[in-house]
Order: sequence, then structure tokens, then C-alpha cells
Amino acid sequence: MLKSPKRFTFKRPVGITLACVIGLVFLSLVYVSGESPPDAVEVGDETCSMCHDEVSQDFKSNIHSRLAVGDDHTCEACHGPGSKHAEDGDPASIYNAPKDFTSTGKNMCAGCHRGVAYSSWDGLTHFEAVEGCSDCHKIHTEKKHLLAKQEPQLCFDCHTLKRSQARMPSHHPVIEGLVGCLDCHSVHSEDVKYTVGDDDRELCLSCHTSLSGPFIFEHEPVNEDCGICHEPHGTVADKLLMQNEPFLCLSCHPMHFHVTLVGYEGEFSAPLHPERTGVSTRDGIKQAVLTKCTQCHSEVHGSDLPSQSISGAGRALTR
Amino acid sequence: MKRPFLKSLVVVTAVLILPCLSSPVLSQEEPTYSVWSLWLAGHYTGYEDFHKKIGEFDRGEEGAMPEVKLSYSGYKGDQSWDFFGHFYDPKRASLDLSGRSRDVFSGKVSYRSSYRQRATDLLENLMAREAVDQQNTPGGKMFTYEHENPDADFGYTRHELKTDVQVKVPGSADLTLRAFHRSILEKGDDQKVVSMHCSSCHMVSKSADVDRRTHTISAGVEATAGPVLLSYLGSYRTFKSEAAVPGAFYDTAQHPVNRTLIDEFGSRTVFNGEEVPFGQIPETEKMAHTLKVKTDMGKNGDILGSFTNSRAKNKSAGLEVTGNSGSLKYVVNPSLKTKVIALASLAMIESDEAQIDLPLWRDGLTGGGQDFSWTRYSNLTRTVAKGSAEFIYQPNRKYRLFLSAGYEGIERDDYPYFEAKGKTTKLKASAGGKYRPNSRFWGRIRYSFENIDDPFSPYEQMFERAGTDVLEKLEYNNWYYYFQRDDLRYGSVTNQPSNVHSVELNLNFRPDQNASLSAGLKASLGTNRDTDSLDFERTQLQPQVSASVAPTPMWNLFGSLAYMYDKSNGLAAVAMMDG
Repeated sequence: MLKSPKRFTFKRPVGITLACVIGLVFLSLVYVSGESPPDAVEVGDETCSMCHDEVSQDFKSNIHSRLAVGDDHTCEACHGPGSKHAEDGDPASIYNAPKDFTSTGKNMCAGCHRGVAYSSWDGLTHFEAVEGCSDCHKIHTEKKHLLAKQEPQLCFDCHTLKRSQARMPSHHPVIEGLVGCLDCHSVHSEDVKYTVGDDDRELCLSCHTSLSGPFIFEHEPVNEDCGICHEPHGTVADKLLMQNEPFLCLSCHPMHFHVTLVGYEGEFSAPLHPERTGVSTRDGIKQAVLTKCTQCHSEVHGSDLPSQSISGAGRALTR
Repeated sequence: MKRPFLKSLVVVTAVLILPCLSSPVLSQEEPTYSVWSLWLAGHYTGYEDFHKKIGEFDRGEEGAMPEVKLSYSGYKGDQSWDFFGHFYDPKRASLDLSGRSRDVFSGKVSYRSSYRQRATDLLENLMAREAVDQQNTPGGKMFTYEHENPDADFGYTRHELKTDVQVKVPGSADLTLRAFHRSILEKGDDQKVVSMHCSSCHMVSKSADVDRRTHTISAGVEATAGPVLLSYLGSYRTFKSEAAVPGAFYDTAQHPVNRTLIDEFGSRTVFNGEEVPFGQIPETEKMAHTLKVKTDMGKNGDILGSFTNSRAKNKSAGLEVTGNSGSLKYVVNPSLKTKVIALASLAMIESDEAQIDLPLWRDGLTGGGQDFSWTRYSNLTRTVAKGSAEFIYQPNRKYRLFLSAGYEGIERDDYPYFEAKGKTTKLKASAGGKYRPNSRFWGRIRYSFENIDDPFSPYEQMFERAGTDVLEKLEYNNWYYYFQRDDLRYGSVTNQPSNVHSVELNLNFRPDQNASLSAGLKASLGTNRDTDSLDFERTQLQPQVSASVAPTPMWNLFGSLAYMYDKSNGLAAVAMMDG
């Protein structure tokens, strides 16, 4: 095997983009904002439970409560000092994270949930779309991951197009409960567990590893983007294909050169192999080469083995 | 399941459970709370007629089958543990085990098995013979097929084992060790079709074993020092197929009718008249290192930088792909009402070239000795640069406005030919708003536009011009063949759009905690009228409405109606197929 010489250069658009980012870093240092603490003191969980007994009861087995064993100020750890609210009963006199959420402010939950798993949460598309963590999480319950609903229903509530696609004839087994949305999508960051590296195709290849290559004989769209041929959430066509064969293939490739042949009408047997018999029709050749390309080109994702014909330079992906 | 798979399950489970049992902080004063449930049921699965194309993932074992679910959860003080097991049938079962001790240790083990039914291609369309004239005189080109196992029911069982462990280093609340692992084992059989030509185009359907094994392990550390978060993750994945490589006998190449031209046809093929392997899956491995640094700038925002190095290898063929990428994300709040999100990334991927050595074409024959050997350059070798900026304005809780722009440049160094420097440039823009006057109602609208200059397209053109006047003949004969004919091709074609417009609208109404009503519309139109002769167009439209009512905690009624319209027009395919 020969190795390519390095041919990478630092392009102007990249330089401009990086310069803009660095400029923004300096600009940001100009702006600093602050926030005053509420004018109240802590009163303890007992006081809270006098009115919010149902929530308090549920919260006892909640992971947040359990991690704060021995601390009788678990409510105020998030809601802040509650003496003023305990006195006047006014919801406005105590901190309520969902009502306080603004995209431009700091997220309160992120104060604790700030490891690498949440490193890119602020500014993530998902973060900007929701009205706070409580859109998906019910903080006081004891449900798994404190989710308001379990996936995929929780995700489908907003991603309605995916709900439709998940019920298409060809789909990943999300509805069947064998694959979850979180197996491919990381809700709080851009990292997906069990992927190796950050190649754009890695999300698919981390499970479909047999197709990862690199292969000696390649099919270029496989290197480019799995989404050129496949719609992962569900399709009418078989194998999550955007269109049925041969239409999908014909959107890039010319038709097979045998397609113009007129078919013989009647029974026949192969002269050199008399045991191979059949019935041909006028359109038989068209049906043979224009029904399903992958019947012959079966290794469409790539192969290390040359195909039979020299004139095809071994790259027909039939083997 | 093979022994190593079981062994890893046992070892990882032990590693997970031991810290929970031996935790020194188990408080004697704390009572233990636990809840469990056992669910016993049965189901029956039956099939009629041709069932090989149904139930790709939910096809159960035929007949009556008991079904069991068991769940158990408990906690004592700051330690907790959960178990969930489900047996559906011998091919579908799941088991989840998780534990946590204080905020120091957490671990999970999960196992899941499922069965994937594979379709069987009957190949019945592959039966035809050419007629050389209007008098129905049979010709030499013909298709025949053969099913070695027509009654086979193909499919494979997928076993997946995952573990995930996180430990905070004692005495250091800001140092966390992470390790996770996943093994996927797919075992069963599948249909493989092999085609051979010269002497008749003959397709043979065979049953091939499936025994694919993927193991992924990752380990890393993350540390926090004040506002700085630093993390490293190393990941390694291997893949190997343990199934025997199927083989097929390729007919001796000869003219399908006149067998006197054996040498003539034999010299056109890489192999013939022998048994050769096909459908071979290479053994591969991939290693990646990812380093991340994040600086929290308090109210002002944060900066996240990452760098990844990866190396993927096809061990069977000795090919490698190396990748280096870096990204920078900067989130800043210039004021209490505004936010700017800036992203920049650069990735460089280099894929090995491969030298393809083929026998000389028509070697020893008149006009023969043509060398069709070639070097395969990879379009995976590329430089990808991305940059984007999003501006968000939220004057108060009721309104939020978005405005974003982005750039992506993909430069393929060797596509469509060596050092071609083919480049795709994408420019994206998006604007939207969100309105939430109160907690009962919210609505959102977003419009996006993407312009793609030179989207990915195949290197081969669509049509072939008549005539050969522009071509040079082969060196030793008068024929025009293969590479020469590429110069006759014209008509660029792709199924990728050059302009995409998308609109998304959502309206939600929640009169109280127990009822909700939502309506939405998603629409996108992708077109490509930049190719010289063939247009492409894709339209997606999906209106939907849904309602949910929970009159009591025991009842939850939900209804949803979604209509989806998805249409793709590739005029090349449609016009020719209609013709």
C-alpha cells in the first residue's frame, strides 16, 4: 500500500472563524453581571412539608434527597431560603427554578450537573429549545432519571416527525423498546457514549461495525454520509433506504447497459448448463437488471475482494 | 454466547457490586427501603402464509410462551440499588442492574437480547434470456438463479452487554474516574447472494453464518480545578467476524452459447473456474483519544475546547484511516438579555491509498496485454472546517428570538481523482422566535435556509455521448474500452439538494397539569437545479395535532394524528423507468 503525502493547509475561512471566536472571548470579558441573594433565611424541610406534604413525601425517596442524607434543608438547597415564603405563602417569595429560566441566564441545575457529560449543555440546540430542565424532568418524583415520561414518548412529544418515522415499515426498533433515542442521541452534550472518535459516520458505525472499513474497494457515499442513502428514523422503503431500489441507485448511477435488450419469449435452458432452465418474457431482461441492484452488487458498503470482471477494474462490489 | 462473553459479564458484575457491599459508610441507623414487583404473563405467537418479511424486530418464538418481569429497588441511607429483568422468550430478554453509593460510586450493568428477522429474496425476477431479433431468436445473454436453501428462515440474535462505572477518587471530590464497556454479539444466519457471469449470468442464494463481535472499552478521567474542567477519554473498539467466510464456485468463463471462445472470455475475468470466498468481513480496530478543556466564566459564559485523535485499521487488508480534529465552543452572555454561541471546528482525515493489481486484460491474445491496474484514492481523505454563530435575545420570559449563521467546508483531497481538491461549501442561516405568555401556552416558529455549493455527487457522469471521435484507441488494438469511454460521459447527477428551506411551527396549550393540546407543522423543500441536465427535489410536510387528558392518576388518555408527506423527484430515474 502507498501512503498519501500530507496535503493539508490552513484555510482562510477557518482562520477567520477562529479569529472571530478569539475576538468574542475578549469581548465577553467586558461584561460582568451579578445577582442579589433573596432576603430570607432557611427554615428546614419540616416547615416546607407542613404545606407541601405530598411533594415532600415523594421527595424522600428521590435521588436528590437521598444524596443529602442528614441534611434537613434539602428543599432549600434548590429553592433557597424559605422563611419569607413560609410567612406569606406567596409563590413569588421563594425561588422557583422553572419560572426563573431564561436562555441567557445561568441554569441552576448546571451548578451541580457540570461534569464532562454536561460540558456542552449550555448553548446546545436542545438547551435553547426548552424552557428549562423541568420540561423533561420532574424533579420531585422518584421515576427513573426523574423523567416526566419515559423515552421514546418523552422525545416524541416534541419530535413529532420522528414519531411518524418510527412507525414506518422500515425503522430502528425504537417502538419495540430494543433501541432508545439515547442510544444515538446525547441529550445534554454532543458526545455519544460508545462511539470512538468523532468521524461524522461514527454514530452509525459504532453499532454497524462490520461496515466501518476502510475497504480496498469503496462506495464513495459510504465515506461521505450514511444519510445519503439511509434515513435512520424510518422509511417506507426497505432497509431504511430513502427510496426503493433501483430508484435510489439510479439517482446517481446510469442504468445497467443490458437494460435495452429485448427478452426472448418462452422456455429456455442455458446451453452450457442444461440444468439451468426457466421461462423468459419480452421484459425479462429489464426485470432482471432493473429491479434490485443489490441482488448482484451485494457488497454495496465496500469490500476487500475484487469483483469478477477485469473491465470493471474489480470494483463492482459484487463480492 | 461464547465463554469470554459470559466471563466478562461475571467479572464486570462483580466489580460493580463489590464496592456497594463493602462500602464502609453503610449507616446502621438508616432503615432500608425497598419495593419490588413481579409480573407473570404469557403470550402466543402464530404465523400464516409467507411470514419472512414481517416482524423484523418483534417476531417472537412461535407458539405459547411464559413471560416474566421482575423489578426490585432499594435504598439505605445514601446507597441505592435497582434491578430489572424481563424474559419475553429465549431470543428476547433484558436485565438491568445499577447501584450507587453516596456521590462517590455509581455503576450500571445492562444486558439485552433481541432477534432480527431477515428478509429472504426469492430472486424470481432473475430469469430471462435475450432475443437477438424480432423473430424471437434466442441469444446468448441470459439470467438464471438457484436457491440452495429455499425454505431457510434467516435471522440472527443480538446480544448487547453494557457496563458503566464512575468513581470519585476518595479524598478528592474533584477527580472522577470513568470506565465503560459495550459488547455486541450477533449470531445466526443470513442470506448471501453471489453472482457470476460469463457462461450465463447466474445468481446463487446461499445461507451464511453470522457471528459478528464488537467490543468497545473506554476509560478516562475528569478533574475540576476551580472554573476549569479537564477530561481525557481513551476508547478502543475491535470488530471480528468469527463466521466462516462463504465460498462459491465461479463458472469457467466462456461464451454462453459458443464454448470455443474459452480463452477470449477467460482473459476478461480476475478469476473463473474455481471456488473463491465472497462476502468477507474484515477484522477492524479503532482507537481514539479525546481531550477536553472547559473554562466556566461565571455569569459570563464558558469556553469549551476539545481535541480528538483517532486511528482506524482494517487488519485484514492493512489499510488505515487517521483523523485529527479540534473544536472550540464559546458561549457568552454579553448582557442579561442576550447570548452568543460561537462554534469553530477543524477535522483532517487521511485514508490510505490502495494499489489494485489485476491480471492483464486479454493477456496473450491479439491486442491484449492491457493493464487495468489502478490506485484507489479515497474520498474519505478530507479536511472539514465548520464555523457558526448564534445570537439569542430574550428580553423577558415571554419572548425569545434566535438568529444564527453557519459555514461548513468539505475539501476532499482525492475526489473525484487524485489531488482533485473537490470541495463542498455549505452556508446556513436560521431565524426563529418563541412566545410563552404564561405557563399554559407556548408557541415557537423557526425558519432555516441552507445553500450547498457542489454537494456530493458521483464521479461517473450519467449518460454516454454517441460516437467515439474524441477517444484514443487502446494501445494494442482498435477497441475503445472502459477508461476511454469515461470521456464520453456527460450529465452530472446527485440526490443531494443545493438549496433547502425548512419551516417549523409548534403551538402548545396546557390548561392544567392534567391536560394538554398541541399542534404543529414541519415542512422542508430541498431542490437542486444546479446540475447541467437533471433536477432533484425533495418535499417533506408533516402537520400534526395531539391531545392528552389525565382525569385521574390512574387514567391517561392520549391521542395523536400526524400526516406525513415525503416526496423525492430524481428525474433521471423516473423518466427512464417510465420510458
